[in-house]
Parts: sequence; structure tokens; C-alpha cells
Amino acid sequence: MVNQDVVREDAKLTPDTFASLLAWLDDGVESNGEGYLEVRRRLASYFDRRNRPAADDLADKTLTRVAITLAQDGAIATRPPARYCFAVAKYVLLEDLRRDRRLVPFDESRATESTSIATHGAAAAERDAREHRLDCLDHCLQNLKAEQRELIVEYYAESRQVKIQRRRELAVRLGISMNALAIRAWRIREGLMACVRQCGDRR
Amino acid sequence: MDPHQPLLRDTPLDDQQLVRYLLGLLPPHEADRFDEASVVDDAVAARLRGVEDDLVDAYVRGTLAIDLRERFESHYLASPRRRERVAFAAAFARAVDERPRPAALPSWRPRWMPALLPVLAIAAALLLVASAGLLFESVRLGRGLSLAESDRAALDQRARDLERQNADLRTANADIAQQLARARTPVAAAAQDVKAIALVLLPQTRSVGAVPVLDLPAAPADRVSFELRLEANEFNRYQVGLRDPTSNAVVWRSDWVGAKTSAEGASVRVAVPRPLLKPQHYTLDLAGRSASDTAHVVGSYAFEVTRR
Repeated sequence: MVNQDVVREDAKLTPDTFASLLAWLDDGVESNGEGYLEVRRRLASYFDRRNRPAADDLADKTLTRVAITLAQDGAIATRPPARYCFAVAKYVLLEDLRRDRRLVPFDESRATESTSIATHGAAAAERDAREHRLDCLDHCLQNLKAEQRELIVEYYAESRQVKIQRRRELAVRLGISMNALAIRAWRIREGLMACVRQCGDRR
Repeated sequence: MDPHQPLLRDTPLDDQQLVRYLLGLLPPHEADRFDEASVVDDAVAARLRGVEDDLVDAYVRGTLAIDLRERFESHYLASPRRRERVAFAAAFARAVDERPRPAALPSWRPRWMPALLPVLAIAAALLLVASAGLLFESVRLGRGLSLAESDRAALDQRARDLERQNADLRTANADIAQQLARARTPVAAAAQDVKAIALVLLPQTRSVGAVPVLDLPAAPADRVSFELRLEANEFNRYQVGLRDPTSNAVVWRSDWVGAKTSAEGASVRVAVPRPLLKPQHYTLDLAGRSASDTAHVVGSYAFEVTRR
């Protein structure tokens, strides 16, 4: 499967190398880049659960190495592609852990949190940020299609009924499986989160 | 090994196990298997995402059991990326919980829309008055122009309809006024006496259930009273802390008080300052103090505040 050959210095991806990576990750089923985004998301979450501060960077580094191996070797036999990506990710994690022993990362957001407890002004700023986040969310929700809004309100709202039962009824009403419903709801939610983040950045 | 077989095929996968994985509670060799499955196995990846969102939502709504909540705070919140998810979930849960369910209201209303409702109601009333005026004018002119009898009858009928609608509106207004008066009474009483309970809360279980809702009128009351039912009355004195799950700060604490016993069992009654309660989720953390003066965590009670 994966050996030390994949653990080499990072190089820049060329458009051709990247296109080959997208096609290989699609594994024969054209996804318009969705396959790449999905694997990248999963890798970033994996690094994050391993408490790596730069989880997105590590996911990118992993996929860059996979792409370079693919370009150099012409093919990677391991299936599904995500299995090979995970094997490379483990090496990337080990490297990062080794580096971590030398450098202690500074968690800026935590430092800000401690300060905010001490200063009244920062607490007010946090309240403002919360209000702004809500305004952004309102704006992003209004940009959704009506049926998408209805779906997430029904799917995620606090319920007087048992949650599973309510979701099952929703899936029946929409004529889709519970899994398909969960994926649909999650995609809308992730889209909203990205929208709120962008809105916050524009502030 | 068939590379397409699920990685966790020998493991009965349930949501509790995924929660334990997300909170770092699995032994290392099991966590490693989940790590791989979370990247390689489509079904596990999808389910994990759903469980994670539900876990975060339960945290921001204050419905996590106390041990899970503590673990969530010490482990899950250690990552800035996950804290961002929690901050988003706090806003998101508030937004979706404020929305009427789709069956009741098919179209989306922005958050500021409820504030406009009184204005819209006044506008509707003015339109009604204007319509009645126009109708009267039409009838007067109609007489002068010798309108056909049938037309006048139709207008009379419309006038009667409007009159009936006016009467209905007057009745509805009277009902609302009565409801407001009723709603104000217990809250006002709570300012002086905790006997008038605004919300009775039962001990929380491990399951993530529905949260009791306290629908507060916009009345200028000083305090809102709560009755926290006890599973067992094991302590001499109790103290209640009001926790805001979005900041995880305890924003108010009661004095140490004794439990009261009634036919329903033992309970602790406290009155929380009204200005502290905003439309969002809260938990009431209950601590008990024994005769030896040692304080213990008894449990937590989640509730949600909405505003009429």
C-alpha cells in the first residue's frame, strides 16, 4: 500500500496533476470535484479530531502528496481512493506531531477567550459578534430556497416529538430514504455555515 | 480483505458509540478504527456528521447530560475549528427554534418580522376603518343615484359582514387582553413569592429529549420562578446556578435554600431575575450541600425561553 516513498517534500500542483487527482478520486464516476471536496472535508475533520491546529493545511498537504505520487507512478491501485488518502494522512499526522514537539502552537482564539472574561469591553464585543452572526444567518437563510428552509427547520428544530420519528415522517413525506434526508439536511447546514463565515469575514 | 467491505463491520455501530468517539472516550485501538472508517467508509462518514451535528445542537440547547457536557467542554471545545461549529450551532438552533413549523407557516419570516407584527395589525385595523368609511360613502352616494335595489342589498350585506368582523375583532382583542392579564399575574406574583411557579422542571436523563419552553410575556416583571423536582432529597441545602450554554458562563446563582416537599415529591424553588432571561436555551445547575458542608453537583435542568 503506502510506503515511505510518499513521505517526501511537498511540491506545487500543476493543473494537469490536479485534474488527474480529481479524476482518480472520482473513481470512474464524474462528480464535478465533489469527490475531492468530500475527501478533503473528511481528512480535515480527521486531523481536527486528532487536535491538529492546522487541520485544513494538513488535508491539503495529504492530497498534494497523493497527487504527486499519482503523477509520478501513473496509477494507484488501492481502492477505494479514500483508503490510500487515509494511509498518507497518517504519515502527515506523524510528521506534524513530531514537529509539534519542537514548536508549541499558540491558540489565538483561546487567548482571546480568556481575555474576554477579564475585560468588560471584550464581552460586549462578543455580544456584538453573536448578534452579527444571527443577522448573517438570517440573511443566509433568506437566500435558501423555500423548500430547503422548510427542510432544515423541520429536521433540526427542537421537537416535542421524538426526533427520529419526526425525521422518519419527513423522509416519507419527501419520498427519500433517511440517509438521503440526513445528507440533504447536512449539505444545507454546511452551506449555511460557509455563508455565515463569509458574511462574518466581510464585516 | 475486501477493500470495499465496511471497516466497522464487526462493530455494532450506534450513535452512542459515535458520540464516545467524538468526545475522545474510546480506547486508542478503537479510535484508530473509527478514524479510518470516518475517512474511508461513506456510511460511517455520513452518520458521524449527523451525530456530530446533533451532539453540538444538544450542547447549545443545554440538553446534554452533565457528564457528557463536561466531557464536551474539556475535549470537543479544545479545537478552534470545533468551537466555530458550536458558535454557529448556537445561532442556528436559535433561528430554527424560533421558526414556526412548516405546516403552520409555509414561507420563511426573517428574525425581525415578529417585531413588525403589531405594526401590521394596526395597519390592518386602519384599512378596515377606511374600508368601512368608503362603504358608508358608497351607500350615501348610492342613495342619491338611486342604485338598484339589488346592489344596495349586496352593499348592506357587505356592511353587515364588516360589522360582524369588527365584532369578532373586538372579541379577539378582549381575549388577548385577558390572556395577557392572566400571563402577567404569576410572573408579578413571583417577584414577591415563589409559590407561583412559572415552570416546573423534571430531572434530566441521559437521553436527548425535548426541552421545556418558558413562553415569557414582555411584561415588566422582576422575577420568574422555577420549581426543580428532585429525584431524591439527599441534601440539607441547595443552590441553583443559571448557565448560558452559548458562553458556558453561570450568569446568576441563588442563595442556599432548603427543598420543599409536596404530593409530587421534593423540589427546590427559586426565582430568577427576569432581565437575565433572553429568548434562548439555558440550564439550571443544581448543587447540594450536606450536613458536613460539602457541596455536590446534583444535576442540571434545561429549558428554553421564548418571548411572546
